[in-house]
Amino acid sequence: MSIFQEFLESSLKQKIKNLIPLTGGASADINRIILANNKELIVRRSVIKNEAVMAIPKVLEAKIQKTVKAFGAPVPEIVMEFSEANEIGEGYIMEAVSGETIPRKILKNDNYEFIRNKLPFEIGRSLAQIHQTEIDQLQELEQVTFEESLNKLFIIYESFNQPQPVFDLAFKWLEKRKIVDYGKVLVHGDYRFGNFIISEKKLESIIDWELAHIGNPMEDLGWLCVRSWRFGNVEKRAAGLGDIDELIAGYESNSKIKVDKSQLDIWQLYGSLRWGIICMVQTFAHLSGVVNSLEKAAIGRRVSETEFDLMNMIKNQNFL
Amino acid sequence: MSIFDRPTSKELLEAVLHFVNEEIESNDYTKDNRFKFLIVKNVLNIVKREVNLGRKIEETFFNKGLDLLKEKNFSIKKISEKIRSEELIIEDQPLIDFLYDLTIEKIKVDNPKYLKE
Repeated sequence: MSIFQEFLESSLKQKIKNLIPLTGGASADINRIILANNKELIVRRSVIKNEAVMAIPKVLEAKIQKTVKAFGAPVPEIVMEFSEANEIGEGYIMEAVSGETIPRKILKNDNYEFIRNKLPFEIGRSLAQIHQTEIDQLQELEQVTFEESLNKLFIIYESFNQPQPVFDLAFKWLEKRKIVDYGKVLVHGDYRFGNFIISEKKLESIIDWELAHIGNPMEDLGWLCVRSWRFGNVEKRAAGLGDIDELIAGYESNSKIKVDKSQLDIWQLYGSLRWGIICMVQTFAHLSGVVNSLEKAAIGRRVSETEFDLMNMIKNQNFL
Repeated sequence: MSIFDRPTSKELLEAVLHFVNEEIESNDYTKDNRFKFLIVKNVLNIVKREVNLGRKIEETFFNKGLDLLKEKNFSIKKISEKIRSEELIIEDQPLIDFLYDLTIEKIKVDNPKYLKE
């Protein structure tokens, strides 16, 4: 039995029948815990710090989930947090919400047809709920303006010393845009399929808060429209589900903010650039020797997908 | 004629790809390991396409890059530097066309399906 499992059993005061590794996020080691009484939980903890250049500490993730839940957004309940100096590290245990997270299954399988029609509205409405979270309770989170986000992104990009002229062009394009100030809100930071737990009836839960920060609400909406998160349904701009009108209608039904579509374009382009640079972050974690990972090596060749998307937006004004 | 014996590097690559394709269909592996084999297959296909197309793409864009920069030497880094210093600007149609064409060729190597989706 691993030290980590021993630690979990001792903390939960229960025997663990099975500890199943799940696919991790940018900075998380995630496991499904099946207890002796068959109850299931999820544990998320930090991994190598160099790799987690953009991620917040796990204890803060847990705090956000608790705060957001209190404001009525669908997120899993936190069961326990931990912060150990040894190899166990820091993390938290949360309830295991049943449902599907795999985007292509949700977008293609017949049993999700009913919910697929409702999801653009529901995803928009839930996002507006998240954006109404009282941010005074989350002072530890970084607050960033658009300009600051762009500068931060450029510093990360430049640190790899691998010039991508399309990225440089995108930075210049974005620098010239006029950004509408909608006020500061809690931004999820990775609001997309893969981080939604969906049942056949509804959006059950929103997970993976490691990129959360305080910023412009349009960042989450734009990110949701990035082509990479449409999982093959290219013509359906809103998360591969449908047109953005339903998404915006859902958002506006639960918010005083009126979405300007031209702002959504800007934030979508920003999102594609950000995803391209996140791909670089991951691949350089492999190239620098911090971690030896086939997945991280391979993701470096997805940068060209984001370059293609950026050029389509810049040259052709094509946001589909 | 190569100084190296057969199989050629391309033929070796094909042999490995064939092996990986068969392993993906096998039931001997966990779901997680089959997923990793799929990544291996994708990576090998990138290498195969780059072996087949890369040299020609490099030559084409080296020449196009010389025209764009109007200099004796060309590098991707130089284009980035000129965009950063605004010697090349977003309103420059030849720059936009160059970068658009370049991304198309890159993606033909990295993930040609992305162009058809």
